[in-house]
Amino acid sequence: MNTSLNRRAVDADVCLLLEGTFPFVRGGVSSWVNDMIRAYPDTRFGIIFIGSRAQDYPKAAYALPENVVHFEAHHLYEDERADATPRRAKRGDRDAFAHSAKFHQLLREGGQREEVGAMMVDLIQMLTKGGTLVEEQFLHSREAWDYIEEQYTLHCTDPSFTDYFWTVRNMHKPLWQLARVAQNTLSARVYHTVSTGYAGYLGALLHYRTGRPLVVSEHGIYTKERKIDLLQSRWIRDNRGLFERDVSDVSYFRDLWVRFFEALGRFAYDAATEIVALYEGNRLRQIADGARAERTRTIPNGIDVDGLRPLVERRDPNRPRRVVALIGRVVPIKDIKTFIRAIFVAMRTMPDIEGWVVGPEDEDPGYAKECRALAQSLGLERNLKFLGFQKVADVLPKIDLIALSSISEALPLVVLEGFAAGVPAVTTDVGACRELIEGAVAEDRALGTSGAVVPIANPAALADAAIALLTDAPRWEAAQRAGLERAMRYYTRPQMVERYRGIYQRAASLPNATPRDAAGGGICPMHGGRAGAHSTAQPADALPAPSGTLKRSR
Amino acid sequence: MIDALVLLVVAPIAVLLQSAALWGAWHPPAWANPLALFFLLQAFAAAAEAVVFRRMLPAAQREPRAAVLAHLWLLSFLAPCVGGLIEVLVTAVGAWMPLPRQSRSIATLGRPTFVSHLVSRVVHGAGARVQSRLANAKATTDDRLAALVAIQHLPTRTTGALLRDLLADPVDDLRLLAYGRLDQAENEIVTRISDGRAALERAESDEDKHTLHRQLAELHFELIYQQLAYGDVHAHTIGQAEAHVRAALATKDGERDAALWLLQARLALARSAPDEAGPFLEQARDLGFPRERLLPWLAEVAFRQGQPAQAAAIVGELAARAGAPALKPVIEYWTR
Repeated sequence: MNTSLNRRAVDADVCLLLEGTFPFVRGGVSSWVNDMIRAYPDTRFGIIFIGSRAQDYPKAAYALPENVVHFEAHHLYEDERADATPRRAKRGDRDAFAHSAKFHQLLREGGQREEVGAMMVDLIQMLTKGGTLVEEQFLHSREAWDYIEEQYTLHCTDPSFTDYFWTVRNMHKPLWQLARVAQNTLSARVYHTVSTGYAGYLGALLHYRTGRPLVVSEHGIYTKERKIDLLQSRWIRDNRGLFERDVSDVSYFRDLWVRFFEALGRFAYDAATEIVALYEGNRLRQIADGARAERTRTIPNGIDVDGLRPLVERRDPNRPRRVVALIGRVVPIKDIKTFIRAIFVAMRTMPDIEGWVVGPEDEDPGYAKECRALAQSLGLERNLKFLGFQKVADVLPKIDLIALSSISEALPLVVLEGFAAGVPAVTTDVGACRELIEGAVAEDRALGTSGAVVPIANPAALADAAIALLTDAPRWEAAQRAGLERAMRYYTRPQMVERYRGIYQRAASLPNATPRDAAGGGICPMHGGRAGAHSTAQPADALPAPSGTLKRSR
Repeated sequence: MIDALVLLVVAPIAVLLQSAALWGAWHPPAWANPLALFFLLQAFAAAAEAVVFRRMLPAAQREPRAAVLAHLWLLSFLAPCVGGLIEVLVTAVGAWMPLPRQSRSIATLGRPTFVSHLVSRVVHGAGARVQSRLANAKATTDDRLAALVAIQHLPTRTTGALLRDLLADPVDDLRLLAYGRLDQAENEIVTRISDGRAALERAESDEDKHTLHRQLAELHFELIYQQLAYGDVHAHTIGQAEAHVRAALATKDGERDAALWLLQARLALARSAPDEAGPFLEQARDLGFPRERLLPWLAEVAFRQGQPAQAAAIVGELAARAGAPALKPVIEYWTR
């Protein structure tokens, strides 16, 4: 088998645009991408990976499937030499910067999609080699300096011009690199980005450049996650003095970064033919962030139910139920500490309870160390085990309850895998977890609850729910039945694969759009003209589900 | 490569022009003014020399090109033959023998100064509304997010309860941000606890052990004071803090540390044991801890023991000693 990342092709059927995930980082999204590629062995995939710095991704965590014919990785924030030779200042093209100013003004005013799209097509030409707004012009021209100075005077509410200058410069620099990637990469019949952000922006560039359709599918909501990171980050400065500061206002640079990622998200949504969310809550969020409702749909994750079901038989029915496992990467978003505290609380009532943390600890070693230190300080040496990465199929028959203490999730695969293997779950009330535990529609809810839902960061509630399930045999068995049935009916991999197959086929069959059409000028064959009313209803012509699939209400 | 080409082509021209200028000065032709001819030829020679000498400078010193060329031209013009050469030699010496790094470090920029035009954008008095905006579930999400960001810098002691309430907010962004704030505050203390423990394992002298146990006790108490530990974990944290206090007291002369006795009293109050706290406070006082600083806790002990008259008397004593402004409402309440 060819496990190398060194694959090159001039074209592919589907080009996946991945930011910070497969094949370098383990996790739900990577695992999903891996499964998706393998689900279509006859489809030739290309992968463009975007990351921060090469040193952050030293080794691939997944072997590339055989049908990946092309792979390339780009890093947006590589270190630069501090003592590089200074460049000679250029004069710069005044018209190009005027065009850019108009574009930014349009974004600021929330301009018409078609107008923004059309301007973006022009900008792409200007950004790439031979254009009037190439990276050199932005970084080293007199016009760029004058432009930044003018924008600072007009819009910036922070007194520091130095910080403004470097913020604008650092913020925009990756966009040229991505423009070069879009110019030189392979051609594909369909471009598929698994997030918005930089990958989504690259998708939009490729769509406008080639006229081929873009599919956006999101697990979490990238813009939201970035926003939370930015709002609580400490590297963004606020230089306002005591009398200049309005405490009720977010600092200018923080807001600027948030708006930047919101704009990237909008570019991707505007360029996309189909926008997929994992569950209804995220679909509504995509619409709120600028996605056209008629292009959105939900496709829940699917798992290999048939492969996991035999694990139910491997469970020892006579074993006392006392093992609660958190299966996932040891990273802050999973809030492992709440799980550890919950085991500590539960131990008071159920001294023989066992908590297992099953997942790799190499993504955030500092956090993993904190978790181990917390477990030690709580005296949990006997009751809590850190097992590292394990095969899920090996672990599931040995555990009695899956705990998910995450502060943010979309539709966690591990809960579904647990259901299919006959393990109920206690989850926090995030993402689609409530739908998974209690059911999404009336028919689904009638199956009963397959565990319990608790508030985030509440160890006592998590502990109580876990003990209630472990110590109440009829309730545990009812939860097991409900979970198994729910997974079989609504969350099988074939259902998911069929729905994506439909999306790929439909997109691949579309004719090439000219760049102007692709910008949504009203005659785009992919987008079928201008948007109608801004409704949140799903399109009437949603891809037909294969026979035997229950249609989920939204 | 380009440098070599320039030197090969322009250097001979510069030498020729410079020679012609000097030769012309001593052997002027009859038809020309000797001084004017010299200046003219020297100007051309200096231009060629400037191009050559600029190429001989280190790359970082060649820009801005126009200014560097003008500088070299002037030197070569005013000091024929040697002007530009001196510049190149001086630069070379600078490159070979750089100043120590500290002395040529980048200058520190001052804090940005007050910008009067920003004042017009400020809504004064908004701080008072922030918490109410946050608690108002009907306010827009952006407005509430801005309010939450605004209170991020306040101590968790005052915002802890509000942040904890927000963990159950229906808006995902608010939940995540509130969690992030609480987690960050906790991490700052837990990291210091972790470092303190590691240092304690290495400590050998009684004095070091005393200092580290006291520090760890204070850090655990900080978790309680900042309302970052609750439920069973709250009780466990108090237990840990008390264990460190006892260990610190057990070191040589540890029992003479009055602040440790006060900390032990506060820990006893935190687990609702005022009867134990009283003697600890007395011990702290006996060891020289100022009585006026103990008064608030003495009053609390009396109140928790169900002796309101005693509590009022102690608070009265506090009023006589002009307590901190933050205590004013309490003093007013108890001494009315």
